[in-house]
Amino acid sequence: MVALFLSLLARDLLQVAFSGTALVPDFTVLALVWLAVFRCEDATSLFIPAFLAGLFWDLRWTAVPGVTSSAYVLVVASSAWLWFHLPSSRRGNPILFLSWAFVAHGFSSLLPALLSGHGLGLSSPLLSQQGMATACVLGLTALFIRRVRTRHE
Amino acid sequence: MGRAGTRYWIFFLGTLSLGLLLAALSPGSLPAEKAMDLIGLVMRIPEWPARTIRNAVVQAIDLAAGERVLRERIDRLENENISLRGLLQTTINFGSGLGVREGHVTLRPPAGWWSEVRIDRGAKDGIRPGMGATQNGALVGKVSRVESNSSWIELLTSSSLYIPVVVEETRDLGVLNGEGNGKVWLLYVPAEKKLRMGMGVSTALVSEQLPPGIPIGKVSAIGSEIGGYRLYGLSLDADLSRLYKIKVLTGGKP
Repeated sequence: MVALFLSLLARDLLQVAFSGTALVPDFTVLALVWLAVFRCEDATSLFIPAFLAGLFWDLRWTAVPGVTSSAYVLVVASSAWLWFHLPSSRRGNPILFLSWAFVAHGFSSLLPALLSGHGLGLSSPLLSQQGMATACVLGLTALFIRRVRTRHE
Repeated sequence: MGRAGTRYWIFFLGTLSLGLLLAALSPGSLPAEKAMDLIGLVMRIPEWPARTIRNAVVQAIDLAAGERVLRERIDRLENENISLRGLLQTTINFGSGLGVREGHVTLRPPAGWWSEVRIDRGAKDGIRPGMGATQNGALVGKVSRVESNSSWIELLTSSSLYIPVVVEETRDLGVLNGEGNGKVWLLYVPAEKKLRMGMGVSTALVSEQLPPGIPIGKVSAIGSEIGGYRLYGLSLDADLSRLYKIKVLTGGKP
């Protein structure tokens, strides 16, 4: 949960620093994917923190309380469900993790824009955000590989 | 998931339902706006370093590019321009403290995209309800509510904002009103008055807080005639789609 809190704070501070120039990647959803994947056996305890993290973001930035919360809850549920139903041999697959993290990030970024109807659409800030997120997802995948190897040792 | 399966689904569906319910009901509600203001207030403390760094970087870039001197000069000229326009059109005393206070847009609710924005300047910075707000010298709206550290600006495109205006070329008076969807209309111009496309529109005498003569936009469409008055569509000078910084016209009498 510390990772979730820190990711939320880091995203907020960076968004303040870059306000008016760029959209910061959603570190929180990446933290949630990470936590849901490694706690896929019992991800129940993640729903309320995910909901609260989303609510905080909505109240601070999107002004539509509930949208990011719903996106985060869906990401936790789908990540945990997917990883739980994967064979044990596939759970450590970095390509699968990378792809899923990228999809989850794209979903959580696009959902508020789609639901509000006044969002950014496929504007260049949203695309540049996805571009920056790619670098973060690659970094997270490196950590994933390290974590999986450590577990096997 | 195993035995925890039932709890998993209860928590998942419960939090998801709550989120969707909030998304459907809360936009535009007073409790939601109060909660947003509270979060904004609380986060001012941890966000202070990030804000300071951002401002320092912007200032450094401005300085390096030599823009700071130019901006200060533009600010000074804007102030002089506003005062001179006021002097030309009215004898009302706007007070000696007429000035501008720049703020960053911190919130623009999608549900009220064309209605209001929140900026990071409030009562502590001398902002009061009714003051005018500009972008690059053109009016964007009026201050509607003020908190201690933030304030809300009602935009010209809001359907609930009516501003008396004057057509600069003909001196005809009318009232500006938004449609709530980005369009702005000039109302109450008698049908026999023939306004042409491209004519300028600026503020008429509204109150002692909003000086007359602030540029608003140009006549861009000629609408239908209703009850002896013709509607005119306006294109705004301000770019409301790129509203990141706003200057509030402070001073004047309350």
